[in-house]
Amino acid sequence: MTDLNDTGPVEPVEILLAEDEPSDADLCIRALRGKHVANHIVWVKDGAEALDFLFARGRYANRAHADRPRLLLLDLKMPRVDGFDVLRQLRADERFATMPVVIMTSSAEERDIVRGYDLGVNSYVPKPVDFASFQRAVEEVGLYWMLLNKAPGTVAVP
Amino acid sequence: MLFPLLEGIPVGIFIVRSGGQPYYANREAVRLLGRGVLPSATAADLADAYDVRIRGTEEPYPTNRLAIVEALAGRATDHDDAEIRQPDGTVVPIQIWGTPVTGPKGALEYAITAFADVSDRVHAQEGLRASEERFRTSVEVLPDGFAVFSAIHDSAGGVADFRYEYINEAGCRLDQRAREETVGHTLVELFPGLVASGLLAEYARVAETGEPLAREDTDYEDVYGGRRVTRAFDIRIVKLGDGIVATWRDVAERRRAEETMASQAAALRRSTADLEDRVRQRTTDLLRSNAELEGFSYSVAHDLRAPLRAIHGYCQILLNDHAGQLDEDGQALLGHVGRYAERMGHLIEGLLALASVSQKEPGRVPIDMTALVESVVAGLRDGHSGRWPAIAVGQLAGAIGDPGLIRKVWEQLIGNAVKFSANRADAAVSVESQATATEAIYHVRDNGVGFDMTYAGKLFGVFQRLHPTGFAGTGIGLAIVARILGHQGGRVWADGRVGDGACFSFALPADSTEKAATP
Repeated sequence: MTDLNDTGPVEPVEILLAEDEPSDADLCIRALRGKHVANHIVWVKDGAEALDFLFARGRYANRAHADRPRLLLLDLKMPRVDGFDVLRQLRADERFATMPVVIMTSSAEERDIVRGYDLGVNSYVPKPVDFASFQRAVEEVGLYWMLLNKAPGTVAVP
Repeated sequence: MLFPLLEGIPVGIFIVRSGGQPYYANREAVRLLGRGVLPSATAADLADAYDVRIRGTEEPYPTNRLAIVEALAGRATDHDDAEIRQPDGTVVPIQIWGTPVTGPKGALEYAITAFADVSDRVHAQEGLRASEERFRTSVEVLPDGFAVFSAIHDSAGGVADFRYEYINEAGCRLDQRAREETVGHTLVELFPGLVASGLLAEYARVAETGEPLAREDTDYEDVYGGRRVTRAFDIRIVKLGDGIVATWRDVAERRRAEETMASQAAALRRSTADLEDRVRQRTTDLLRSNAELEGFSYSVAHDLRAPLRAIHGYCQILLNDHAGQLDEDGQALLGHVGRYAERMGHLIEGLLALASVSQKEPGRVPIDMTALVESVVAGLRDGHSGRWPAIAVGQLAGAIGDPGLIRKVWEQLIGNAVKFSANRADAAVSVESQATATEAIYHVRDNGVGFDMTYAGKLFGVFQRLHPTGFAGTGIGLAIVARILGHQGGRVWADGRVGDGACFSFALPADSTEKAATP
């Protein structure tokens, strides 16, 4: 669980997972891998790290700038920078304005859901406590956004 | 002779010789005495013979004071203290004059007594005395000072001062001066402060004009009992003859009482305000700590979810992907872990639901209860596996509330009725309502296992379960029901008997707009 991230530099990053809870991150990655939805998943532990990764700065300064993940799975309650702040900063930047972002969170509060959509999230998925349901939810999100959905950025690169 | 003349006068004349023998009585004397001349009587027993007594008593008149006896002894007398009892019982008060009559040589020849009927005067005096007594008795019992003054005029004819003619007991007490130190003295003499204060001039004006004077709560400074003090009086002055009558009352007591009452009222107001402040403060504290507690339980429950998901998740992964490496017992144990994690998940969801009830502002709209209950029943049936009871939903009264929250109440109560009657083949659930002027009351009845009324009070507590085995549940559903209804201005209660079904009832504010719509 300590090294969930792939080390291979060859494949482009397909999914960026921003999640401060290691067990949730682990279970999420296991669910995505289990259905072979994605090969290259990167896990960051909070919103600040997610922004560093996406904008290729800090410890991710050497990352190829154009290497934009195809999907961001975003937790809301995270230390330093929370999910809403990440979303706001991404949508304010034209390079990430259309990147698919799915909020996956323990909060099913109406207030949070509305705020997420206001900030331009593509999907809002409450995390079920029950693992089977959780697994199903993650698989469905991965399948839809990685395999079925065509995002603007991906059309140009066949 | 003089006798014919004496017969006509309205005074009794009785003459005895120097030897004491009765000699002559005129007509008035015979009338007054009620008897004629008693020749046998002697001077010594005249009082007895004519029944003369000391006026107003039963005492025989002393012989040695009898006018006739004194006159026989050579003394002239004038006594006004006798009365005669006439034979018919009539009492006649008399004044008696006695005169010795001497001859040319100075020797006593006759003794003459003259006596007059003084009934009129005596009655008048008695009337006066009675009236005076009435007056004194009346003013002596007064709690107020009362005094009668005669005016003292100056050379120009104006009123310069007043002299005490009479003062009652209360007046002496108020003035701290004995009656004998007062009556006969003048106001200015006893109370020089009256001049400086201008009160004397006001009293004089009453005597001169007849216009009465009434002063309330008047401060007056003078020497009382050897000390200079300021006192407060209510004073009334009216003119009486060439003088005045005064009544006065010390109002210090009343002032003190008023001040005490005012300060007590103020103290009461202060302590009431203080109490209200404390209640307000306490309520605020309580609301805050309640809110904090709910916030706390929400975040605890929320934070418990991730580790629980991990436990459950890893159990499942082990069972799914690594079953081959575990023997049968190991797999069963992992299954237990997973189920308990699941159970804990339900408890946490329940806690979150409970906490969220009070975290949102509830709506207050009219609810079509019949439609809502039918939709709840349909929803429950869709998600139900196993035996489904007969559910009878009557025409239900409308109420005011939050439809989303009230839906939860129905789901819980009807769900419970279904669950706890599932053991019977003839399970039946009914939903009814009744409307009062202010409330709509709903009943959900089942014929299931029921419960022991001893524990009725525990039904609505968090994690309270009356059926430990055989029925699924977290023990939080009814707590949520009670919380929702509390927030909606309603209430909830339950009736039941072990083995004989249960009836859960709740009340909500009535929908006052409904009456017009339904016949």
